[in-house]
Amino acid sequence: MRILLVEDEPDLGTAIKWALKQERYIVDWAQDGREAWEFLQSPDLQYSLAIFDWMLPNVMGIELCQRLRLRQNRLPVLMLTARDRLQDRIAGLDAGADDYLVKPFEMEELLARLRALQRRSPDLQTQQIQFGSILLNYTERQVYCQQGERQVLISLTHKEFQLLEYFMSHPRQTVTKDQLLAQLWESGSDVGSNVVAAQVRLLRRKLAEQGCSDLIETLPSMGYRLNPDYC
Amino acid sequence: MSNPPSHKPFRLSRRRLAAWYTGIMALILLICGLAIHRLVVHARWLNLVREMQQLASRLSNQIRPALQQPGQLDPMAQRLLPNLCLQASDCSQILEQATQLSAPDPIEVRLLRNLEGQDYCIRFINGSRQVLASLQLPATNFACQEPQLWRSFKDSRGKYYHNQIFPLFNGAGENWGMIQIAHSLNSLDLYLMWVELALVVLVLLGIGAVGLASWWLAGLALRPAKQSYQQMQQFTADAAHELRTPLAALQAIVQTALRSSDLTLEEAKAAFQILNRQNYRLSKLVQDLLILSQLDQSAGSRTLAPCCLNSLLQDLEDEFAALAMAAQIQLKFLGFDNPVEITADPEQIYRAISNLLSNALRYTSAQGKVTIRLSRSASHAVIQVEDTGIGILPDEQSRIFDRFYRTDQGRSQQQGGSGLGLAITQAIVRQHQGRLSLESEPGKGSLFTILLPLSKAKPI
Repeated sequence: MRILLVEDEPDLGTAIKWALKQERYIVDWAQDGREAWEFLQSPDLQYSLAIFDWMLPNVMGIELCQRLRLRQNRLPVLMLTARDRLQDRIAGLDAGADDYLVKPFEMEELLARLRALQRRSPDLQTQQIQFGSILLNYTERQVYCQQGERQVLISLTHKEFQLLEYFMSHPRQTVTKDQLLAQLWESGSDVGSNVVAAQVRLLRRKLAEQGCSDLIETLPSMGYRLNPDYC
Repeated sequence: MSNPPSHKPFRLSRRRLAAWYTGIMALILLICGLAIHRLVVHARWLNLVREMQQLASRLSNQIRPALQQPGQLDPMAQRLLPNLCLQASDCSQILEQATQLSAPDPIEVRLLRNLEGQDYCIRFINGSRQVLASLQLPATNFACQEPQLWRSFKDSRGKYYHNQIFPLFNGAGENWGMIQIAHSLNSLDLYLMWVELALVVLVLLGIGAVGLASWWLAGLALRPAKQSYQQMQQFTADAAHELRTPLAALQAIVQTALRSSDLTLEEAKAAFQILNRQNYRLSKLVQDLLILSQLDQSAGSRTLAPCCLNSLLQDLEDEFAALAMAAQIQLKFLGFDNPVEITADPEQIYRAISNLLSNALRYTSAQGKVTIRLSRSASHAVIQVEDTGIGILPDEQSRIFDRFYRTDQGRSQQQGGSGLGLAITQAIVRQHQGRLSLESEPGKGSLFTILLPLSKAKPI
């Protein structure tokens, strides 16, 4: 799941990005409004959530919000700001923000609110998805293997989780390496498609340990897809 | 965005101020109105009494030939005053005759200059208080039908009469008896009624006008207070915002580090660096806020001392030299050959210029130049700090001295600083009766100029 973080304070941005990455989100961090708008306009990047700071250089967070809504974009937006007057909160919400959090805030609360936004969003409403015996819980951000009555936790790294999440939310579709690279790695990160292949290999190995070795199928010179024949 | 609740105390004060003002003015108007009323009544009363005196003297002249014997009225009096009713005869006939007459009696016209609304009853009384004759002027009124004689009374038609007694002398100058004149008060009452009505209307109009004027004046008087209150509110909101930003970063980084299950040494170090940076930023902000509030409070109550700018600026250059070298900026001090002395608080002046210098170094990139220049005009010391930095847009130039104002470019550069440096510099310069000005071209650099009055003890 990809999140756009727009925060001009480097230290606060670092902290939020760190926390989001711990939660296995893929984070793009823009430090000013114009850069954020470029991220939002980019056709390759599909964001599930956005966190906007109010006060930003060049384009204010509230204006970003208005621009999104003018273009009928329903991306869930959480507004982050040090302004806590009633009028400001109302203005923020009226501009199209879905939630509002006043600085300083509890990190746990920010994460919980993001989960809540995720639940409310029509595109992201499902709490968990299942493919065969593999179960991915969006809220807990964990993957389980169904073995009879028992659910066994599969311990994945952040990247492995993000890969599996992407595959499971696009079942039966062929996914190219370039697509994975664009969607799961931060923009501007200097990685090649062999890194994608390596990550897929690692994920396969972990799934094989649970007896699900054939879940991800390789289609030569095309990409990957979740195996439709998988039980 | 305005803040409606903050206007409440001002509206209340304005209403109170206007109400008190109107109340006091209304009281004054009311007292004035009453005084005018009293004066008018007094003047009219004097006039009335004078008229009665004049009538008494005209009457006594008219009837004098009939007053030969003291205490006795000669019957010829009937001829002198045709409507006179001698007590022995029946007077109803006279009244009847008078009512039938179309024109007023010529003698009456001579006696009374103004017939309108003036009713008189005149009685001729001898020494032993016997009424010998009575006369109604004009003959058509009923004043004399009243038996009461000796004080103000009301006749059968409800008119009030005021009466007065004058001594009557005959041709030989002997005291004949008395003449009693009762004068109706209805014309006076009518006149006073109009006066009262006019006064009431005027006072009410006056109170209305004063009320409107005082509402307007109260608004005018409260405007500066309201303005400074709003500024204060804006400042408090800005200060809270500025305090919250580092606090938010501190809280976020600590909580993220704490909830991380596998914190590496590298991550921990990065977190501590952030803590250190934000902590420094908070301390600097608190320090600057304190300096500003001290400057606001102690206007004019500082200890001034002679201060040589040549050495002060040299000290500043020495202090910033290391910083400039680290940032690869060429820092130069172009001094003045003669000593430039001002009377000032040296510590404050040092701080003011140091703020300008640290801004100049902050917004100038490597290989740039920062120059401090000292010179002197006829009456002022001129200190200039020039840089080849990012410059300031024309529409932002007037606002950069506002507290917490940062240009977009300045903010995106994330160079630390509290946003109060220039506000502090300006406050200090103003306290020293100086001037701070700015010339800047975006992309090329900025030139800040401070003018401070030279010491008066040492003229050129």
